[in-house]
Amino acid sequence: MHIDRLERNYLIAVVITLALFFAALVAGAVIYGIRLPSTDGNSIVIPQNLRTLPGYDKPGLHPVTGSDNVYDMFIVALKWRFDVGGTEVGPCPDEVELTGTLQNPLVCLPKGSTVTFHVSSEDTLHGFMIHGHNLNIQLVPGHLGQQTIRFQEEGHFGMLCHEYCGISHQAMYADLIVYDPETATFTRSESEPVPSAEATAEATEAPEAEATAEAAAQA
Amino acid sequence: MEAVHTTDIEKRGAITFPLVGMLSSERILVGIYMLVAFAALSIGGLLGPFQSFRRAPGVTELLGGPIGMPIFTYYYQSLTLHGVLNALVFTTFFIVGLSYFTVQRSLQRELFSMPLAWFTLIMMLVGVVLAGFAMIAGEANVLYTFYLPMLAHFTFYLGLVLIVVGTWLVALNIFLTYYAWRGEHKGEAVPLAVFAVLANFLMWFVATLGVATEILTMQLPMSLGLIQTTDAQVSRILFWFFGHPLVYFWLLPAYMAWYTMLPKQLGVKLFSDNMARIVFLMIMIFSIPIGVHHLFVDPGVSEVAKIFHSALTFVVAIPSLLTAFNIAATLERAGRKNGSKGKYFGLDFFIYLPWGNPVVAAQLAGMAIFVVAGITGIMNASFTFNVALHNTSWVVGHFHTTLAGAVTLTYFGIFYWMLPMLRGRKLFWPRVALAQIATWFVGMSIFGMGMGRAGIEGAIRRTDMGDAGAFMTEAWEPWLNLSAFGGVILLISLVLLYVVIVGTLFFSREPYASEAPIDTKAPTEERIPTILENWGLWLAVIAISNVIMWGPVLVQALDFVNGFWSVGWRP
Repeated sequence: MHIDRLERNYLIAVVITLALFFAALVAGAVIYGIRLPSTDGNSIVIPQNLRTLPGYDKPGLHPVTGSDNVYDMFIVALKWRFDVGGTEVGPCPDEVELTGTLQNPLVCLPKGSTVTFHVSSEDTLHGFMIHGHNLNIQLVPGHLGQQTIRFQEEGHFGMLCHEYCGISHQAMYADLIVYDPETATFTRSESEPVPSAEATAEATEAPEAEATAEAAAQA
Repeated sequence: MEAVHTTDIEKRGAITFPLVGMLSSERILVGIYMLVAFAALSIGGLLGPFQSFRRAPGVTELLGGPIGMPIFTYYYQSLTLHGVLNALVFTTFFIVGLSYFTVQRSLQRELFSMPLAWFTLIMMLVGVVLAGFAMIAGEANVLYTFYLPMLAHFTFYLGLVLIVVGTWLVALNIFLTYYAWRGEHKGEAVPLAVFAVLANFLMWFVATLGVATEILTMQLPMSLGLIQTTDAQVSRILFWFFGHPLVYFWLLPAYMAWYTMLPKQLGVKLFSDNMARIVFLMIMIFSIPIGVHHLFVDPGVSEVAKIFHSALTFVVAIPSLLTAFNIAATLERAGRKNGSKGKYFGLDFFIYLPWGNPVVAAQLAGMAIFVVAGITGIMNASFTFNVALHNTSWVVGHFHTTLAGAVTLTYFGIFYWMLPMLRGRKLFWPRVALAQIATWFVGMSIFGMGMGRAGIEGAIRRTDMGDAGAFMTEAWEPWLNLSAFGGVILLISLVLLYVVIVGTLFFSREPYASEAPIDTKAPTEERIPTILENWGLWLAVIAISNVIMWGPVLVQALDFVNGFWSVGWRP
């Protein structure tokens, strides 16, 4: 079959270019450690039993014993909120306004911390991403998402559900504050308000129940 | 209408199609497919700009509150209709109509079975009515990807199944027509346009096996209440086995137009017929075993599969880059014929192309926007980018430059000669048609830019940001506003499109007397290897490559003990 000389040279150039692109990709993964969430080490679970699994039975921030500034964060996604274990997970320094609600909780983390996020859905398909960071997981019921990131910059970031999951999908997010531990002061009470079990159960039913649940949580 | 006369009594299926008119069976069959396609686009397209307005904080501020959706009040219902009508109904009906026309004209014979063709048409129309009913009634707010465990009314799935099975019957009819022709033309290569149609439908048949399995074993029985639980990961895997070849199913007819029709409209020969065939074969084979790039952040798919599918996604860029060469070389011939002297590094041929002809201009505009579409596509295939961009409006920006940009603009170019041919009257107001194409090109470029940049800032896709409870940051605002500005231009373009269609159908008086840009023979100057038409061999290659690339992914996700526990629910 005849191929024009120019076209043959062009084809070679195309193949080399694409090979270089792919090599850059592999280099990015190896050198900068950009990894994808995957099945490694995870097995398939029954989504209704998610809250019986170790870690997921107590959503929230768990410091890793023996290491400084290293945490495990367990999050249960459900219609239509992220259960991070309370309205404010932190502790949050004084300059941060405590705006967290059960629907849209507030998470505070010190700069320089390394956090492994363990996120999964107990009902339907959701998504999880953190703005400005290489963290993006599709929350498929039955599968445990896991990704580790290091927070290197201060700021206010959104933790969003990125997959359409029904009528209140757009309201499903949490706020993340990364603060500088050098300058932060903690004069407020460090005890976090944790919602009662009944309030959590109520809130899972419908977003309308949110206000009641919150009131119950604060009571 | 000119008389139909059988040229050879022994060649039973062979007929001569009138050069400048249409046979009545052809006119009705192709005409219904084309008009249903554009009716779907007229409704589905109209909903799009309002979604961009609702997502733009600037528009909300201007109106003192978020804008409502036209006709369908619920954002996600509107979004479902937008996706299904444009990406599934418009494309599928247009492609079937164009493929029937091309195959009959190129081979100069009627379809193998006209009764089958009519039956298929009715089946697909019933499918559209059923799916349309479910969506309009608000019983199918599941978006066009219908991910489980979210459920729609069973008529939605039944409608989709009828459309998909209908396309299988179309593929069957086309292949039988081809083999009947092949029996009478031993040793002759099939015209390139038919080669493209065959490659497209072979790929489509294999790809739709995935989505058909998904709907028939999961969505449909669940929506009928026969089963209560299912597995979301398995359904996503089956969907994306189909989902990526789907985008090539849209693109290949556009390539076919660029390779076989545009050269005739420009009065030149294609640079290389053989390389075009290689391109179609490569896309047919490599568009399926790469679909995991839609599942890069799914925890139920192994990292190894993700890396392999990512690598093969780069391979499927090769045929598109070869197309760029072949088509550019052909355009250069046309430019030189029209007086280009090879100035400005030989690129001045571009100026000498007949930009005043809406048919040509639409296809050239489609190619121009496809440059952006291709580059953003290669970026999407890179999993390191994907971690930041998955499910952001960046993805929406990308596929609006491919499907709504390159593909749809090319379909406009085809429709602007097909519609006059169907009606037998000249295109109404060619200048309006030109303005329609220009506004579509500019509007879609701006919209794509806005959505893309908003996505880089982390704006999520498929989200009703007009809702008071929605998350919004300042970084998104200018770009979401820009995409709404693109939406305004696209809305104008749509109105112009309606003017051209209604005008040509009802108000055009001058008779249309141009030939269809269809070749009835393959070029004789190039020797075309017969192995290229060995469809059985290619089917085997597709089967083996997908067992290797998709088999492990599916096996890993299938777990009949702990899996299949997700409870279905109606949003």
